Amino acid sequence: MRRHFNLFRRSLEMEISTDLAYKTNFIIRCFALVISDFIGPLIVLLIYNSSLGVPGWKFEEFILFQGTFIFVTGIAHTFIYHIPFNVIENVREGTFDKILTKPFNPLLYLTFSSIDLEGIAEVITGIFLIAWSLIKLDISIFSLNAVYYALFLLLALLFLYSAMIMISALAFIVVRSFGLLELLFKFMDVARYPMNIYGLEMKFIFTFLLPIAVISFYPASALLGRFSIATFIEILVPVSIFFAISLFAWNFGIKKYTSAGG
Amino acid sequence: MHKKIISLIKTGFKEAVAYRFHFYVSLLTSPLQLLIYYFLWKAIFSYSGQEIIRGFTLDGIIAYYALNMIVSFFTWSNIDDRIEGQVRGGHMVNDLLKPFKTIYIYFFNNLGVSLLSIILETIPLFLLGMIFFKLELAPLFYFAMFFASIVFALILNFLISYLVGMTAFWFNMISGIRKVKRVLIAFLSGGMIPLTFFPETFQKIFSYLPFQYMRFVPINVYLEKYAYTTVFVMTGIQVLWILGLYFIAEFFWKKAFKKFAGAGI
Repeated sequence: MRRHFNLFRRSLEMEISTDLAYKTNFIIRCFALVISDFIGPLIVLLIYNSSLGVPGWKFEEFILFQGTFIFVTGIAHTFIYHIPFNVIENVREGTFDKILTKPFNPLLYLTFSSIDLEGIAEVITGIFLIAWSLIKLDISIFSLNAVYYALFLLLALLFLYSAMIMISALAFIVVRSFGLLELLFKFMDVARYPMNIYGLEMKFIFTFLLPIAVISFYPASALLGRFSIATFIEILVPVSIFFAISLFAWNFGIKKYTSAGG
Repeated sequence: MHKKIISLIKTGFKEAVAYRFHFYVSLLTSPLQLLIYYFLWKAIFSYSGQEIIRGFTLDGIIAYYALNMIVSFFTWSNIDDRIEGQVRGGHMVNDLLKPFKTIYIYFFNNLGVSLLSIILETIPLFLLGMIFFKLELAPLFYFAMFFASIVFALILNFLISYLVGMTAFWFNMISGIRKVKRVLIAFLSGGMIPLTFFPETFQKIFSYLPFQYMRFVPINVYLEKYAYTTVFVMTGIQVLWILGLYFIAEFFWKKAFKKFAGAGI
């Protein structure tokens, strides 16, 4: 564990020094992320100004929902998203062997060495939006619902981690899998809006088959007191299965790795 | 002259063919995105019980998003990305040595990419939109003017991309600026939500900026939102913006040229 912590610290130091080398660009990139994250809530504002909005979600609740989405994806951006990028790059260049020769489990090595600091800008934006809506809705964070919220958030991160492992595993087989990553990110757009709008069949699919709804819908609803521990256990099952499948795919993919590049 | 232009367009086309996988992915993801918009707006319309929101019916707004995708694919430009790469890698000299003004080299190259996008994205999306997303064939006049206005939109988008790319001469690494540009254009051009949803004051401000002429105006032309004369006025303003931005681009290009050392970094 300590070795992994050192690895993480070293990677963080390296990431910081890279960002400092192009300081202005880094700051502008963060700024760009903040703007693009604010566009979602802005559109919600424009919609609620012109109509009654979406059934079951008041304006402030919708902002809580989107804040949660931005917060979760922000953390994933910072600590998880770089894993497939690393794998795809290394597989394409044929340099993945370097990672295999490291005295770490390859997946753990990638997990602890893939950091992208600009994601912090998104985390802060997310926290800002969540805090704003909680104050407006007069919801306390010292409640049982907040505990469920935290649990669901962990589950959301586990789902995103699994999805990234899955894409990485496919990188061993298809080599040029940036397109798959793009596909996944577009699929995640589904989670930008509450599941209520999609109808029951789609809600079922995005909960149990491809549990995208766990990113924002379940945590936000839990914080609003609409779900309890029973729902959590219900969602825990598909996410765990997804995680297990992704690990299986990873092990399968790494066996297929040919060191040839492409 | 003629032959040179055609060969520049051909190069752009061939370069884009090499990345055709990207086009296939976007063909897969755009229906998904349209579907998300469809569900969102269906919920909003039925919950509000309004027939028309801000000048759009439910079918109208879905057609708007479908057209938005078509316009954004057609006007796509990565020239800023390319200039950044050339400046950082020190390969800019190759482009400067060509017997052509650099801006034309880049433009015709970009045009080649758009031609491929017509085949791989624009036409398939049109068909898809007509079959599944209530997109109707516009009357001949509007259809022709739509085509003219998306060509102008392409030139506008190219010029802004070119200007943004030039900042690389000063800042070297501009992925941040490029991202800001992409996000702002998508939002201010009406690419995320029709501009009619904004308060009046904002709409007024937008009419003095070039962005709405890159998406919102061409889409409105197709959707027959304007009278004949207004269509001509709108496309006229597009041309004025093109001329204005062209001169600004030329001005900065001369400055950038002085700054340029040719060595890369």
